Amino acid sequence: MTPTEIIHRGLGAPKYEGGAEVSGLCCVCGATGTLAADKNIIKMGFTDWDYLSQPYTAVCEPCAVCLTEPKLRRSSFLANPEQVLWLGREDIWDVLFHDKPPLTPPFVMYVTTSWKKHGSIKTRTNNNWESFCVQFEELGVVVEPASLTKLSKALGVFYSVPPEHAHKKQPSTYFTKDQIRTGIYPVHRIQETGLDTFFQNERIIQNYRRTPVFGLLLWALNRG
Amino acid sequence: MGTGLGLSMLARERAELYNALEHEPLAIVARLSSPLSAVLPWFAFDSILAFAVFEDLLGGDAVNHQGGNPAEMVDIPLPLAEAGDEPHRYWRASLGIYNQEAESIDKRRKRWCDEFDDVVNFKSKTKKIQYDGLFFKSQDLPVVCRHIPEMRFYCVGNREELGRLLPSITHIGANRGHGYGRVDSWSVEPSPEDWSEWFSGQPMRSIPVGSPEPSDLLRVEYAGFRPPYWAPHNQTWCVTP
Repeated sequence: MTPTEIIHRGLGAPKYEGGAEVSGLCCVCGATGTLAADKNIIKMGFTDWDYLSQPYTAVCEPCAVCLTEPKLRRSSFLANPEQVLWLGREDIWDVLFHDKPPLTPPFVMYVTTSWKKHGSIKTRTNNNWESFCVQFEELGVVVEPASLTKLSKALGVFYSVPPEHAHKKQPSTYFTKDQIRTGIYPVHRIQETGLDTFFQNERIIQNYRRTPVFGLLLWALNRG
Repeated sequence: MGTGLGLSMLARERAELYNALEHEPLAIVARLSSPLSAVLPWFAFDSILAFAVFEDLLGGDAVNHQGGNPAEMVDIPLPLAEAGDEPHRYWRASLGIYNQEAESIDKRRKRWCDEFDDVVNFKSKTKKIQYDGLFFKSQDLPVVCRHIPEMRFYCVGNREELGRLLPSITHIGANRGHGYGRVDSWSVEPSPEDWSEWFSGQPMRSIPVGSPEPSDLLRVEYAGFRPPYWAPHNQTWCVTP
């Protein structure tokens, strides 16, 4: 089952209205296409030419729906053939490190930070929650939650609110996401964290810095 | 993969030639001299080899090959042994095995270059190139770089033909035109055992199983089993490494 088929079924298999009928291979997924890939489906602003696998003459119905449904571009989502869950940024961490799987496989997951790109056509079908691929904007990130426990805990410590700031209306965390991403930390914050705690966690984080999975977790990280 | 009638005739002739070849277990090593650009960590040998054969069939036309009828896809023959039953036959070649020294995110930038405007043929008309949107939109895209000095593949194939085809593959992975994934040398040696499909009870490639039911020890995923791996008719439920 291709990713666009999963999303299409999850959306309730809506019909694409108004497309001219042609025959050929779908320019997005390579399945049998029945609709003309006209300017209503592949619009003027489309720039993901690299992802098209065929000359753009035909497109299949699931891909046509995925390309024209604006909510699929403007939201992060988790989909299986029964339903599509729209995810806010705060929900992503809970989906990645869940106690109970939010959806049964097969599923696809897309996380956006730009809220405007065609992510649905780039996702991949997953069949288990031990190791799955999340499409994070342009990057496909393989997530194995069990192997990321240490990193997730270290990130949680750095992005938690110090007890002495907890009473404030808008409490700040030990470090900002930008500081964690770059590794450039203010010294007074390091002192507040405690040298032992800081180095213990930084040693874990520095192994992952500049990797795709680190970017995804940092985006999904919620204030502790 | 290729499309078109001319290619299908060439492919049929080549398939007859390859069917007569003898096969033996082989170990193939690619030594890389620049970081490999690839979003996902799986590299299929049959896919790399399919492009080598495709290029060998069409010569210099391979890069610009557009195909005739987009509805007709041509199965490119390979000098490898096949396994599995129809319609899920696959080539006996493993995925790449490697030790990744580092992984990082680089940037790939696409921009309209003003200084070569005079090279563009506007047919004596003045035209505006819009590079804040549409086709020529400037882009700044992430590229995942994997530092891999050596990649090893196992297959069952014809040593002479592989030795002839592989040197034409100078780069592997994505963004090859930017210099990523440069292959310094290929070596094709006999392998003491056949590890093209299984090694110590673990799959070395995606092997079709036909149903999504998970097994106790093996991972079952919806994956491609034959090049082109992106084509839905070449995808099914497979045990994967």
